[in-house]
Amino acid sequence: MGVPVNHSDKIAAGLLLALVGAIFIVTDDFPLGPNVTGPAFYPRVIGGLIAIFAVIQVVKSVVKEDTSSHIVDQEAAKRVAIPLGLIIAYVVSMPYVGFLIATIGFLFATMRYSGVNKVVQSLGLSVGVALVLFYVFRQFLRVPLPLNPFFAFERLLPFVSTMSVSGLLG
Amino acid sequence: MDERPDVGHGSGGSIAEQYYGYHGMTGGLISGLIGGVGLVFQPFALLLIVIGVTIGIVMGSIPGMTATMTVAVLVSFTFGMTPTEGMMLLLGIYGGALYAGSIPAILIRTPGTPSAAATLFDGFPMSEDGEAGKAIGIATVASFIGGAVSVVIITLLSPSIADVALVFRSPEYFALAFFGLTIIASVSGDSVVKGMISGLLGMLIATVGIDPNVGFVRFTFGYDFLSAGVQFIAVMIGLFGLAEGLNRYQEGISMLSIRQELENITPSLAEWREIRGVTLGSSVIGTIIGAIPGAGGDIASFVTYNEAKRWTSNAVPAFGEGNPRGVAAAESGNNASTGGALVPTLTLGIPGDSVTAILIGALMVHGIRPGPGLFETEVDLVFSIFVGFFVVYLLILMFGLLGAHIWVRIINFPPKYLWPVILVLCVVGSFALRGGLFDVWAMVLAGALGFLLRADGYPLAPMVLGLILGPIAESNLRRSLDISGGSMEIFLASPLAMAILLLSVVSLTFPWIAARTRS
Repeated sequence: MGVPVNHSDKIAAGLLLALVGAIFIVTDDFPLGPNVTGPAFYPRVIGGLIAIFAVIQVVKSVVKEDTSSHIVDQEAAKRVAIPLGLIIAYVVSMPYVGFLIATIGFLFATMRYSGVNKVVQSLGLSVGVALVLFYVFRQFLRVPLPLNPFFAFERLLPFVSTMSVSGLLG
Repeated sequence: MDERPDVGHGSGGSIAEQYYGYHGMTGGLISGLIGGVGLVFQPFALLLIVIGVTIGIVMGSIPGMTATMTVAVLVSFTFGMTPTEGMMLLLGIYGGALYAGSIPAILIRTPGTPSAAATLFDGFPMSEDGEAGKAIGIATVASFIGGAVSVVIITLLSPSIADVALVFRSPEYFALAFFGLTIIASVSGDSVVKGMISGLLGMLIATVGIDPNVGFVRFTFGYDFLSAGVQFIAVMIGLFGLAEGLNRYQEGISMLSIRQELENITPSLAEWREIRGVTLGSSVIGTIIGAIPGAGGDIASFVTYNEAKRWTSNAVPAFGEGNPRGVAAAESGNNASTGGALVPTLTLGIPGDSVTAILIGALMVHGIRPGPGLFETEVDLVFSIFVGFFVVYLLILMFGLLGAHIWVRIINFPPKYLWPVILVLCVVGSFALRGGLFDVWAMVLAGALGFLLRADGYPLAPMVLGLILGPIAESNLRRSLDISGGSMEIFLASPLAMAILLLSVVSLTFPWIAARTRS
């Protein structure tokens, strides 16, 4: 079943005009600076141009009597929301469980959701891909991928450096 | 480029003189090329080209996997390499993916990348007539010629263009950045207005962080991690990787199943004679179109296809019914656009298309800002890019003719395995930028925003260009106005800036005028 969304162009233009209003409010506190143009000048120029194009968009849709309707299919929306939710959960969990466990969990869940039905296959591929990425990025490219903060079991893996996890856990 | 002082170019001779001059044009060019060959023909650099071309062909063969997405999610692998090595990997992916988009276009009437959309007009009918091998062979040879011709052209012309750019001061640079945005907005979508809004939003995102002229911290809302600004590579990974993934999941990832046996892949001498004129002509046109910021392989292939159709009267079979010249024109045109896209990227620092925007980002990670200065300070890198890109196309010719039997099977690779890995690469790639989660969240936000904007018809390429051009436009606009005491006459006083700004107005109004004329 679909939910109709009408006048999306006008709604978008309204949101853009609200954004422009916010730009002008926030930049009001910016200092003038020593020169002709201060730090507020350029964001306001961009804001002004966005406002002009947003108004043109509204005028265009009114003149053309364009309702710019979309039917939001709930099933399709669910198909987008689930992978997006899985990614958010993946990123949120990474500092707490480390890169390896978070990645294995994310890959397993996403593969199952994508249609890989065999549990052993999903799990095997998830562990394999996570380990390859862990080694490539941490060992070869020296990216400080986060380790498990409670028990850094990753250090028990062969050839894993003792590099710190700076930038993530402080 | 935005660091350039507002004075004319100093002593030391022009770039073209430095580039060609010491031993005459031929001697200078040859010595430069020898330097480039020395850098490219290192075992690791060559291996990276082979890996890049292979990844590019594999990903380009799978419908829906674009060159931009592949380069965006794999750019993080180059952070630990030298700039030359990183460029070799990325150029290999770029060329390989653009070429391989033709394989599913020919076999299953589904272009692997948008650039291959014109290839299917004649490629698929040839496939239906049992000539899939011949079509892929012609696409391979035409892709090689297109890419190789464009590399030769840009090697010869880029220093002269960089020379012209050296006389640019702040007004001209501002005009150029504005022109880049307007032309991209006008060619990258159905609506110029939405394209401009998308580009301006990119410019707005680029204002987060420290103001380039007086050092004031803007739009950080008390969060220190915002002071350094939003990493535009993270935004690009989100816009082209995550947003594309969400789009694929929305459509429902499904698996194709084809079985094709190919024969007679290498074109015969008679077939080569038939396509050579169209291929060479399309290569030159494709290079020119590629050099226009925003006009990438998709536009180049449609233009060259239409031109080939116009050149060839009474074609048998007719264009659209399986004429090999149609395949040759589209493929040489879109591959030639890759070399063309490097011209504004390297000489002006303005990306020719979305992939070259990521190349700029990859170089900036190494502290290198493309622009005319690149031809003075990073001559070896510039030459290695030219030589490396030529090698990329040689490998494409080799892999394409010898490995076509393998590539056609990749079309069947199930996306259910691939997309989860690509999503992880989006996260890891953005994490690798600064080793923190801030860039990952920026990527996720950009991906979600990109998905929504795309769903409502806003093209994403202008936003990326806005991110890159925003700081250039700001520093040069403000510097110009500071010099002139706030008077806009500084732009009128420069004939070059005026001409570029007038071109911007033309590019903005042209689609509207063209539509009115048609109606």
